[in-house]
Amino acid sequence: MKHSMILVGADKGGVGKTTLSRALLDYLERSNVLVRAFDTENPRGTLNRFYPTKATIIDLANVADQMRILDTMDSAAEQVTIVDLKAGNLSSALDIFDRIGVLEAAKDGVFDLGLMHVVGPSIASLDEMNEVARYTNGLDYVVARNFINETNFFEWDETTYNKYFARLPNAKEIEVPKLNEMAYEQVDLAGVTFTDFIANKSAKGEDADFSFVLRGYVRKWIQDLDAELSQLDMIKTIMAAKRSNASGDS
Amino acid sequence: MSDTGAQSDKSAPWGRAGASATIVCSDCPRNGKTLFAKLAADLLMLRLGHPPHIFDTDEPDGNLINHFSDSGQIIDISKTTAQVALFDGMLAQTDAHYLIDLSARHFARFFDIYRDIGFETGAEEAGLDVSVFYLIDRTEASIEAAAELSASIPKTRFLTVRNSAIGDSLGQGRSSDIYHQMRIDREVLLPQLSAEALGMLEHPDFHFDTFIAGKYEHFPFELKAELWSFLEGLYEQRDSVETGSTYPV
Repeated sequence: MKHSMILVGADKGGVGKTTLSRALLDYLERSNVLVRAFDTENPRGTLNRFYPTKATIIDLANVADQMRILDTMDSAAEQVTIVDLKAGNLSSALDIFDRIGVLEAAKDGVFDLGLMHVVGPSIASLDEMNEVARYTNGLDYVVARNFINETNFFEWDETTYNKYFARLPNAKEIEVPKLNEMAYEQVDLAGVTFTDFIANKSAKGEDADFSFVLRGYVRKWIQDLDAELSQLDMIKTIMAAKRSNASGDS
Repeated sequence: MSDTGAQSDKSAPWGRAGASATIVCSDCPRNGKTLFAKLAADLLMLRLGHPPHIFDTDEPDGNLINHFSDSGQIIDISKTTAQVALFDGMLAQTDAHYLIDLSARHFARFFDIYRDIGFETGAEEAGLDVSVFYLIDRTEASIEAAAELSASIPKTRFLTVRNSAIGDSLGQGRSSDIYHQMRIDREVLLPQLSAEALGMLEHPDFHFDTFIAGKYEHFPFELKAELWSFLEGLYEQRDSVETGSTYPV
């Protein structure tokens, strides 16, 4: 079965990159897809805080850590690898992957490679799309417009955005809906996955006492985001491979 | 009270055991919603011996809370903390009774939240018996809004209130068709009152439990008779509900 690797990144910090990685991990786990993750927020590891057993903290500039991702794809039990790229490191990470032949291998069909580029409400985010465009040939490129922490005025309007987006002919687009701020904070404080928060479970798997209202907000947000994710080619490919694998096993 | 529309099967007894929530709402203001909420609270008070816990969403004025100052709170439903206090609060108590006077300006948002957080399911799991009383306003749009709401909360008991003092558009256009096709568990008819009787009901100190207890013996005979008749009319509707459905108004 061909392995899939999804990079989640942004050149600007605080745009909801790790939140999207968490939602993506949740989505795949709920879909019974075996998934592993690498957290390049070295040494702190934001993703690792929510997935201590699933997300490994690495330093992407370190060759040994690059090998931990790339040289294990064939042997890993997991079908999917998610790499949560350190804030501000999207372009440099893509540059590393380009130099060591990852982008070329993906283009040749050795594995499926997707990039979820999270853009926030600033002009800088739009400029990032231009910057990243030169690496996107041969990979499944998705622009994720993040409204989750939309607390300030969007600097760009739809016309400006569409103008930038039109320069990326192979790009797909999803919207990350806004999540109630208090609900977001409570999940963060609890240090649990979105799925566990909805199920009212603590990080240790014990019954928790989370607010019904806040759990409801998270449930609705996850439902809306699932609908966005499920229409992506990279996700459809993963699901098809899982189904094919399951029918082959039976 | 009369049967109308497509009836849904709601058989859990209200007000006898477990917890209940009564939501009084309308898509428009100034059609007797707060008056009806007060009447519903008064009838609950007669049954329970104490008023229900009231959430008054008419922030900052709190018109209903002025009638039941020790029995509830004014909340700003646009704030998440208030939403948590309201919805989580109602699910936390298994034997309490709540009444929500929903301001028309929060009508759409409130039910968006109600649906988004899956409150119907939560209430069902918690054994909270929820009834929505929707006051029909004068326009076809108000009946359309009622139909839309009723369809969007299929597990919630849905009752319409027709206020004779306000009137409605049931004789006009498509209103009647929409009204009779929507799911309505019960219909409550609120009779028109004289200005004097209405003035009494709207007075914060007036409550039917003290009226029955004889506190207002000094009132003119006609006024007392009208209030008795009004109360009996509500009780008759309550009795018909108790034998055939669930809600004692």
